[in-house]
Amino acid sequence: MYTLPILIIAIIAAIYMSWNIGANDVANSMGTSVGSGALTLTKAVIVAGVFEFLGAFFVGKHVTTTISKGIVNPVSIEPHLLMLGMLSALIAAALWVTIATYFGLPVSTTHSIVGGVMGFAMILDNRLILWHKLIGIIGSWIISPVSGALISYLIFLTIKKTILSKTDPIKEAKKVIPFFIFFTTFIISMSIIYKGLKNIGLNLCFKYSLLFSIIPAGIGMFIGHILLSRYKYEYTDEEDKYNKLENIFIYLQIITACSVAFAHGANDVANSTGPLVTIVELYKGKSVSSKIIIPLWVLALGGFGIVLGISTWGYKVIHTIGEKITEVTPTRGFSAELATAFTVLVFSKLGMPISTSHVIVGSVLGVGIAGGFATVNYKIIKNIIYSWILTIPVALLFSSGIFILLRIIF
Amino acid sequence: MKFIRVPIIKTLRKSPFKALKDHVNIIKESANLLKEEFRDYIYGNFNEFEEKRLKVEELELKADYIKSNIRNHLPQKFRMPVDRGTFLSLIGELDQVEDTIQDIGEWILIREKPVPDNLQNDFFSLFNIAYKSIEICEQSVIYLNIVIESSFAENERVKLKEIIHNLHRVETESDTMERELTKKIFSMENDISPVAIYHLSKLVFLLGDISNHTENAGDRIRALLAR
Repeated sequence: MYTLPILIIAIIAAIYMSWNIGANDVANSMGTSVGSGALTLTKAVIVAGVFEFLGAFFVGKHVTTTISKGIVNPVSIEPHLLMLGMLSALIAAALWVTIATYFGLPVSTTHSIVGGVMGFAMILDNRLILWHKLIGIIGSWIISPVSGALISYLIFLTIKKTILSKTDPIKEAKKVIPFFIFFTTFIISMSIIYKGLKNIGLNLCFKYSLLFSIIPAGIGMFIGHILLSRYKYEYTDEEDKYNKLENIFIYLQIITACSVAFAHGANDVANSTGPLVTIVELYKGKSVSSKIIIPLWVLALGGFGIVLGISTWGYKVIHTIGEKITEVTPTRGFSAELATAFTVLVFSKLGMPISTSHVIVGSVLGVGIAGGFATVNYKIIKNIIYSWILTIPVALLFSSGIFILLRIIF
Repeated sequence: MKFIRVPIIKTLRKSPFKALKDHVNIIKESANLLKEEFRDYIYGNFNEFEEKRLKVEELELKADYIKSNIRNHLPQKFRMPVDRGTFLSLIGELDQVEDTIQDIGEWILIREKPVPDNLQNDFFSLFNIAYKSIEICEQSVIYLNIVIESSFAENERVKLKEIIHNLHRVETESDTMERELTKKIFSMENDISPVAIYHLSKLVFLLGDISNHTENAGDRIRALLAR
């Protein structure tokens, strides 16, 4: 058994997979912030780099666990085969994502890795796949964009009813925005504190997490209120009125942009770290039990790969998107991003590997349905569904093929 | 750019309402040139006329380009919060305004003769009304964007309807003035040549056409607002 070469290849493949996430998927999450002008390119890259890493590091383990042992039953596979299998899944997913990226297909790295893990297991034995869990995962791929759309619809409708439709929208915004700040800060704090601080030895129960999340949220709300009440304004004309309003929302959108990056890191890092964790455990000679302790360096490695992807390629993609979707204004971007961050964080906590890219598209469409955009391309839904249908079998086949090949080599 | 697989990039595009604003800006620019042309014409000063006419022609091409750009890049897959047909006919009306501005310059140049002294003031008044209707039209397209930004807030829609109402008022004013001016031109049949009568009365007709088209554009915008 040559386990060291397998580990080394796996680490390289995992970094490459994370690189892919940083190079493309991050841009998808940051696009609405750059498009609206809430973040400049440089700021977007910094926000993405920092918060993707934090998300991966603090909340990355839930989904990582699912990819590692929620799709196939690791206990019933011979360790050597499991090691090779996870490596095949990783290589297959990375390969498919690269091909899809070349052709500009909107495929999801999450779908690819799930297909990859299924692929090698199917070669061994169909019964190794935990079908009931898999059905749950596939269900979450449909539910998550829809819930993103629904939530963003409700958020934008709230902004519309409480702010935009009023004669003095800024006056109303001063009252409503502190609540938005509370809600946003609360979601992030909760996702970090509840089950998130185990990494650094703090394990708080739900009640305490709730309490400790309300504190920063309250502080945020208070600061927001103070700053807003000091804000003096008068407008020259009607156009100026809405410009000033949008300028206030820029600050909110900066918060939600951080949240989306954080949530994205939390969910998508698993696409590379999930298989790697299994391989690392097996390398150390442990049999994979249902209880998992994820080495922090693996999550850090995933986060590092993402940051590498952002800094070497992702920034260009962010730039391109930022120029393309200038129709997003801060009020719209805030609605879509808050909905995305909320949805992705909830699914991450549930350990569900979902596609953040699809959730943000769902959220943008939700704002569109609420009447937030002049033109929305609903046909994008069709593209996304096609890419789902394509990704699973392709990643599955790639993974099976690579698995057969690796068995011959090792 | 290659190596992009992010779906968000295909989800949104530039708002056609903003493109409409670009279009109406060009109309305003052309109207300003026509204002200079018209003054030159009334006082029989044709030295710089051709230069200005060419500029208008250039602007008309630009406006045409924006118009076809909106039409071509508004495929069925893009949903709009307003009726697509009405939106397209709004562009059509705005384009007619631009065409009429160009036509007036060209019609003036066909017969390089000054306007009889006793008609000068009337022509100025009629022109000013046409110019005013363009200004209001521009204002309503700008306000249409505000309405979209407010996501069709009731109070903003009411304000826009008020602006559009002015277009109707101006059009009626223009109609009355056209009728009286044409009468006045024909009452001079013994003093000026039939050619002059033809040229002048057609000019009245063209000037009146501007407020007809801006009024129509206003009606289309009002139809867009209907919820």
